[in-house]
Amino acid sequence: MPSELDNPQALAAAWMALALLASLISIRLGISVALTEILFGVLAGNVFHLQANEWINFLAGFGSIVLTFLAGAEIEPGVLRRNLSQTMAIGIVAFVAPFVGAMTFALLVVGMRRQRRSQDWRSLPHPWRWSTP
Amino acid sequence: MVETGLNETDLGKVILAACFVNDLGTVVLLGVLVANYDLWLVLFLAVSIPVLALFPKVARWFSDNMSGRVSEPEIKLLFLALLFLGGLAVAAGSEAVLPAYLLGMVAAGLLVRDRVMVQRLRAMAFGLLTPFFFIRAGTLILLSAVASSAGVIILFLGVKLATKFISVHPLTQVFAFGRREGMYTTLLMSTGLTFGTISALFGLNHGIIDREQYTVLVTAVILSAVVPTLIAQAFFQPQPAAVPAETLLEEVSPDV
Repeated sequence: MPSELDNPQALAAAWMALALLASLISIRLGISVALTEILFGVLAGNVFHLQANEWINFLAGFGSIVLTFLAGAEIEPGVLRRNLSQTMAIGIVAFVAPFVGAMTFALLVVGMRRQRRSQDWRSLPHPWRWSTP
Repeated sequence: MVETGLNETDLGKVILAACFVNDLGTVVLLGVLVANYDLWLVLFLAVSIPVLALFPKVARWFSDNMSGRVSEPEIKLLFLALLFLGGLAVAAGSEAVLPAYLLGMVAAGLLVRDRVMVQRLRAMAFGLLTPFFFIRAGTLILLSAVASSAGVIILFLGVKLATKFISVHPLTQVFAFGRREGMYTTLLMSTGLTFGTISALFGLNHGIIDREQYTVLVTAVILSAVVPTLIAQAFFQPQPAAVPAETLLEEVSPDV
């Protein structure tokens, strides 16, 4: 790539081209745009070695914040209240069961475990390790 | 689901509300998992609680008095609240998505009234911001690790689907959903691309997992979004089920 094209606009154009193509394919195939964008990211990252930089990381992080906000705002308090026992029961077990199941599987079966006990394990660079399955 | 009109039915609304509870569990856990239990956390909580309590009132005032201005003050107010609480959350070692989700909850009533603001936010989010989030999430996946860990990925997918099935399906029977509706609910509760990706990125950013582990988890999350939805739409779509093919897998958020 010519060094003249190493500017934020050109880089953003490349990312936006991927995003547009991902949208068109998601509409054509009828699948979620989140999915097609991730898949285009896999392709661009592995084949063309596309990498994020600081401002791309910021846009991505802000994207996850606004997306989470919109997800939280989708709740209809009336529906939640009217069907409180059903939604709470299904919502809670649907969260807890896979969490406990996947964690148990990761720790016991696959061998993903905390390396060593420490009072402040957060300060360790990699408190969990993945050993050979 | 929104585009198939199913969200207007009781079943659809119960599924969406249950997804909401499920997602809330995820963000709260992410928020508390690696938080530093120090003064910054106290400060974060001490500031967040009054901000969350006051935000709907202040935002309503902005919406009533400032709406339609070229300078979009009500959007700036929202971004200020999101970034300010997000910054405090990160200072406390927590995650910016936790206050974002809670702000969404308290603003939900307001946004039901102000659909124009929702449209503007969606345009900004899905037009500019989230493509960078999802494409970046994809670039961090190592194809070599997908190949070498294919077995583990399939096992993780199996664990997720199995635990969802044995936990959600009996409840749908207790609540007397029909067989078809029960299966549909179970399968749709098995997805969760957005929050699965956010969680995996969270682990990667905090050094809890490495790139290979991230690859395994996100690939399993992607498959868990695709497989159950395809099964649900193909075999267990509640009647009436006139669903145009191009609307399959679309959702409120770009998630399934």
